[in-house]
Amino acid sequence: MNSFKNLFKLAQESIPIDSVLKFKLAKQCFKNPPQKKSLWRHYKVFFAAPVLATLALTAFWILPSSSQRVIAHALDNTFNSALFESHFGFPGDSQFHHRTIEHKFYHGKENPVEFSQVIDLWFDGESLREDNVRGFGGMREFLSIMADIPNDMFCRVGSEYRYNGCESLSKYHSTLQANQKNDSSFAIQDEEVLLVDLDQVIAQPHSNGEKNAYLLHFYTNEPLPLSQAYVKIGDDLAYVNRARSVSGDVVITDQYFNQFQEGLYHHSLPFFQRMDDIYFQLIITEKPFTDELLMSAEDGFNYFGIQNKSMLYHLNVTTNQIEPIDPQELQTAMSLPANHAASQAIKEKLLTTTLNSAFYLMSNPELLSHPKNRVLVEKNGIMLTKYSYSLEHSDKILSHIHDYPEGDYSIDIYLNSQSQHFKGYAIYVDGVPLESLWIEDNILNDAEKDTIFNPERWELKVKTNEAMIYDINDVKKIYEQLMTPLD
Amino acid sequence: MSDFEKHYSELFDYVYRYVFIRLQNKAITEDLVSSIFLSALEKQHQYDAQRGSWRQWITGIARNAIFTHWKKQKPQMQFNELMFETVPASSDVSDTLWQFQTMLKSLSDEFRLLFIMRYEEDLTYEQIAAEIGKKPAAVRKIFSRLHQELRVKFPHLKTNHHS
Repeated sequence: MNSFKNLFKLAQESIPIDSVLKFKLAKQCFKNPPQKKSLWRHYKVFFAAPVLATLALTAFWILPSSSQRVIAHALDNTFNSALFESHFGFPGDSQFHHRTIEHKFYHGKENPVEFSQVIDLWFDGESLREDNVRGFGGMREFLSIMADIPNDMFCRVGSEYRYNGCESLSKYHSTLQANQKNDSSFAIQDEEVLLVDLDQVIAQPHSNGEKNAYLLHFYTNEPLPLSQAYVKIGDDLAYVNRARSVSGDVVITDQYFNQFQEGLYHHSLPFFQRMDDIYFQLIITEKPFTDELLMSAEDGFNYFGIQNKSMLYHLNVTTNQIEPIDPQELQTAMSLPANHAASQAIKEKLLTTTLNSAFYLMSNPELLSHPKNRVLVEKNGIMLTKYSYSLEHSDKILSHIHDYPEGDYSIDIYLNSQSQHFKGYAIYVDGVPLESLWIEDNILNDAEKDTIFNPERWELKVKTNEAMIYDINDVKKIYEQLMTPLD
Repeated sequence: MSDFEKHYSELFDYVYRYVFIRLQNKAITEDLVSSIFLSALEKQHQYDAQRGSWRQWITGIARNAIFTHWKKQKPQMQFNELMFETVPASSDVSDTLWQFQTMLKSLSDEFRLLFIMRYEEDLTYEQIAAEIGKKPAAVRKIFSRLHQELRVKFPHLKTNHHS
């Protein structure tokens, strides 16, 4: 009996060789070797995605900003997919691209604070640099990262001194992979506290009948600092803290939870899924964290007090029941096979935020083609098609995100249909902008490369202020050491 | 003879067959094999013997070239219709090989890709899923359909790849 393996071998051996091609190609290779063309064309297959992933993961792990993580996660989650290509991907056109992503949103109803983030990305096929400046209230931070493949170099400069320096990119990459490997399961650390609370969301504006949207709720007696919580779905970090009301505001009651949440801090986390069951963890990394945590389900307000204990919950989307998993079952869940629903969820590239729901709309322009919603507008001298939609179905999600319990929510999606180099969206409540995101892509000339990718002349492409603590000379020094060949 | 020439003469046949069996198209195979070797020629200084053999290195280049080609042709993989040519069953080895070749040729690019990953490259469903950006369960379903069809159309081809 022939196995497929053997048949493959036999089939391969029976393929006749094209000797004409062999001869011609040999002549081309050995007699007229090709001139070195665009390196992008050749490097991109091997290095573009890993570098993007590396940087995205770097930002994901290092930076405390939720928005940064969203962006990083979007990069990480989509660099290999159509979503990335349409929103963040660098086209394979052998050109030097500069991409700017500007994200703003406003936190708090009474005295809204602007959170802003501007990410500049430069990519020339061999090297990628990211300058990232974010501001929240009166604070401002930055991080600049550069990965240089030919020189095997990875450098970063941040407003926190510990971020500054260079190292070998390959070494960095292997360390990163090792870290990922160690964090690839539902393993729960001793100091970590899990809390979870689910409430199925009524609908979502972009539903095409396949996707479901959910809202994760949880409550704490004490405020939960930003960037201390994250969620795991399956084997990967699916979404990092986007919970609001976490920096000191006692939650504003709403129709669902008003009888329970008085005096509590309410946190919510929207996500979308279209898989079967989902397993997820919400982990608080602050330590020690001894607050009592409450969870609820839509049906019956089943609250549980969990004292400093990690638990894993299972949402059965068929029955809409949330079932805590006991420690024995947890052991089983921790060894979930890669093809389990939990892992599948990740593979499905979950769209976890309203930010991503807007991405979804932007990546599915056919959903935006209703003429009555479409007008031409000009922004920054560029003609864009603006699509306006009411977001009544997502009020619940958005109200939790933005601390506006009531209001008329709407979204404008902007697309440049010609070159796709400028696009964005803006979300409004009662006509007031709540959140906006713009992506702009420009093709630059080679002359700018040296400035962008030379750490010796590293100049942040952003305006810094005096509060930032960094010493670019340290980076240069380490860079020089790294670049000095060993005897 | 330079190192590259030596590798070229040793591995041309292997690369050609590696590409052809995956694409089942002579013209495209010629294009890709050319670009693979020209690419290897340009990048030969990057080859690191400590990280693997030259054969492994150029296999990586070939694999990427094929994926890039597929991605350009079909940005979204579709696993819809399973089209097989009906061929008479036979227990003769040469007929079995012919059936196998016919089956490979009649598979769509997507199915052939999966088939080869599974039975030639010995990848698990999970690894295949990761490669093509699908869920492992979806990959299992696809193989289930594939196996079902194979059992009907090619009863003498065994889906078990272990001898």
